[in-house]
Amino acid sequence: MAELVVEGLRKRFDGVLAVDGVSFTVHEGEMVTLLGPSGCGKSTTLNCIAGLEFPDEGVIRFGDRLLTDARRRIFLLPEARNVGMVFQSYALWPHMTVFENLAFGLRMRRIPQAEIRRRIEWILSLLQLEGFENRYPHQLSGGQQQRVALARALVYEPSILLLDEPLSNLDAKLREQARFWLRELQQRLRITAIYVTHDQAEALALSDRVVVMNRGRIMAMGTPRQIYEFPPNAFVADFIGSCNFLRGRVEAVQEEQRLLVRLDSGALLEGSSTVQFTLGQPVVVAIRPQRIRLREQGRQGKNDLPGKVQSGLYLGAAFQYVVETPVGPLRVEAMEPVQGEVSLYLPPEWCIVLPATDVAEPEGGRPDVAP
Amino acid sequence: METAVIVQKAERAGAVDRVLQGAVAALTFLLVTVPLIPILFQSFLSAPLYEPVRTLTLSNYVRLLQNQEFRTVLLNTLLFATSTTALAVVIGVILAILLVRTDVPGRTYLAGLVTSPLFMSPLVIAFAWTVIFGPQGYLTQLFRSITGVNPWNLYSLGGMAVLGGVYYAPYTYLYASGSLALSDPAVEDAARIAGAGPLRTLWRVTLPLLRPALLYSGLLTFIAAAEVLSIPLVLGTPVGIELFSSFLYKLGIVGGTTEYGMIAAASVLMLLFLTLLIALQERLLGGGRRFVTVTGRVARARLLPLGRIRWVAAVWCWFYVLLAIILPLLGIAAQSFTAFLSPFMNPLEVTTLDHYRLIFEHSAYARSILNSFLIAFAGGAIGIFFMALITLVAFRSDFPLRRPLIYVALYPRAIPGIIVGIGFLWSFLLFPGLGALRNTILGLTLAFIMRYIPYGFGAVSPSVFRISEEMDRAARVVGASWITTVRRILLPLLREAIFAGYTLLFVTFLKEYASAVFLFARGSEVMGTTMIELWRQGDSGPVSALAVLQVVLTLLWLGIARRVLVGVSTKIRFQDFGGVT
Repeated sequence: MAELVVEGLRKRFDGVLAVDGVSFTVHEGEMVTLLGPSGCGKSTTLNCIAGLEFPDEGVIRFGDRLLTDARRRIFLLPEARNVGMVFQSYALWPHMTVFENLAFGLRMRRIPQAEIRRRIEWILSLLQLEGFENRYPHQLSGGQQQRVALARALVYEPSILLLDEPLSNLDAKLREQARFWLRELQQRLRITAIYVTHDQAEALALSDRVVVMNRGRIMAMGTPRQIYEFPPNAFVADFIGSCNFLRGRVEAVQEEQRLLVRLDSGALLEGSSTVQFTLGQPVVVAIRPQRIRLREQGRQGKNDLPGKVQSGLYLGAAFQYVVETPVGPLRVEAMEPVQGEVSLYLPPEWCIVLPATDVAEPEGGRPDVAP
Repeated sequence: METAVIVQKAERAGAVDRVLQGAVAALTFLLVTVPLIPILFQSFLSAPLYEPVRTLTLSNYVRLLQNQEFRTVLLNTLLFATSTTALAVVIGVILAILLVRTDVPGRTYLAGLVTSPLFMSPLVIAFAWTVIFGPQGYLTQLFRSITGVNPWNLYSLGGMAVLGGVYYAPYTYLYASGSLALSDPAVEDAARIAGAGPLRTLWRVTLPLLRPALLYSGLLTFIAAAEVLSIPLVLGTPVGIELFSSFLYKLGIVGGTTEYGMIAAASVLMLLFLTLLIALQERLLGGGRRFVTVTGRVARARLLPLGRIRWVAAVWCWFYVLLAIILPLLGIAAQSFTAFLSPFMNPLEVTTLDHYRLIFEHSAYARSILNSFLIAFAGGAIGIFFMALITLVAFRSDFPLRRPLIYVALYPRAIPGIIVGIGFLWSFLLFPGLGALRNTILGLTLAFIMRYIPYGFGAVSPSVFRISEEMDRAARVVGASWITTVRRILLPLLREAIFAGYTLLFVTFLKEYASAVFLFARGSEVMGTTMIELWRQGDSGPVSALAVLQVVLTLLWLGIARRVLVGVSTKIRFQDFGGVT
């Protein structure tokens, strides 16, 4: 079937590698998100797929159509790719009405006038925009403009839908609603879609699969749950949600996927891993603030740590505390307010052991507070 | 199979785009370089370039550099340009601060009047000044009759510099006021809160922040002053003071063909000098900012209260505007309607329409008005369309040579008007195919367009930057080629800027004279050249009449343009859209 294949994409801007060897596949009808901090190369990758940017290296194929092959200098122009694209600013043409904006792509395809009318009616009703045909873009609200932009990208039934941060100009409440109907629409139309965003919540909610990028490279690829629950490296763990990191060395390998880590502070911690480690190997243990449990004081079992609350933030849905412990300060989320001396329990199944080579502090947008 | 077909189709579409982009770039390149080739060529030739017998030589340069007169001309030009620049910058910055940052009464009227010289030919202003301040000028005579001494001498290097300072002050005024309008008022507030009084704030905070604007407009003024023809022609020639352009004019018009080599060598040296200055200007501004002309946020709410000084400032401003602009214009208008203008005669007794009658009855004079109007109206339209395309190829295409195109398009800033004229004339003589353009208004139009490509470029490009690139990307993605995108998306979105640019070109072409003095012939006269002809014959009455007609035509056009522009902008609210994010 027609899947989009991106292979070995490289793009340099003034000597700086914006995209550095990116490869992934998007299956038919699938929604894949490119997620990463600004400057990670996600938009450049999207533009390469759209034909707006030409990569220095790499191949892009859709089904049996070759869109880009840098080595053979084959670059299909954007107008010949039959993709639909929604831009961050919507880029609705201000001198055209909604109808003219939608008709533009259809006219480029030499579709007869009657069919143009029929298709525009169809797409407008699909997006609940009936009656807006003769409005100019500036006469629409932000949410309506956003839907017109989507309608313009879908009306000529493109093979792929590309979305470049399409919700980032909406206010928070509207953005949450838009997430739902965008996902629903994509599943109803079964259209192959690539979605670029720096908002991890959006990525987790919307996509079949997430591709996490940083500094032009892919850091992780998988379903939202895989990425969130078993991040393959510290960058992903920290970028998606937030994480506490503890350095140490492998002390003992227990049963499958369980191992004991001797932290630099001397404490012993049991953690889980999906990869093989050797004894003594330097590692980093990642644990999310939400996974740390607060317990009554004085417990001293496995993975228990004594601590003292240093400061707290009220987040509405929960409280976030910084707790000073023998292994260093830890961020902890709790449903109930606490203070003073506490005992923390770090469940072994949520202590993800990662190779220490990844410990290099995550660059770029590092969220300090969990969502 | 399908793949191959689509690649081919796309390549063909891309090829048409490339052809248009290439044509625009090639035309720009030819327009700018073709007139320069014969000048460079001629500067190394022993005889005029159309003579069959000629040899390559360096003697032109040697002769030029040994020429005592040329050395004086260079010194005069340098002196004139430097003092003009100093005066223009001081006048411009004082006016800008007073009119933009303080509560001087009548600021809005004053702002309009202060910039009005920009719309008028320096030729008209120079004639107007002679009417009032010349040796036989109205005020000069009045002053002399009262005090018995000559109060000033306009026909001197100093007099020329004062006129230059007034004429070019609007450059500094515009750049400085634009910079003031854009700067954050909080920096001044911070100085006040830190304990600085209003004057100290102006001196220590406001003025230093204006430095880039002053440096840039100062260089602009220096270049313009170094190449100006009208001021030395009208004020200098009668007393034998020559500047660069009037020197070339004398060599070319009076000296004739024998001096071709000297003219060419002098032109090449001047071009080198101005190219250096332009490069310096680029260096100062750097990056894309050099294309951004004066754009400003809407007026700021809070102004610096001057207290009682504001009346002093207002009197000073009005005095300046009255003396430098209003009085000379009234003078030239009065002269055009009187047989003889003198403070010792009641002008109502000598009222006449003879000067206007002379202009309209003499076919060559009347034709010059028609020619000027035609070139401004049609040439301006073709010009702005072409310049808008250059801007789009330069900033909104993937044409491989788009960066060099910018440099070529902006290079005419370094070419004095008189050299543009000489270059076109000689290329019509040198290149066989171009002979037909000689002495035609088409030839003049080409020269005017070439000279003012930077104007159109500067008028359109800020608006191009203001349209988000996602606008054209959206069109490409839904299936439009580059040409279709330009035609259906970019040009419609730019129409306000293009119309504003058209207005600018119309006014500029209407008043242009320097590049025409070598190019016109019987049948292709323009208003500026006719004015110079009449002035050389000593007919100051008809010169005034023609000057008045030119100013009236300009004002009419600006009035119409303002109406149309308002109409255009109310249809679409562009500001809501396409902001660069």
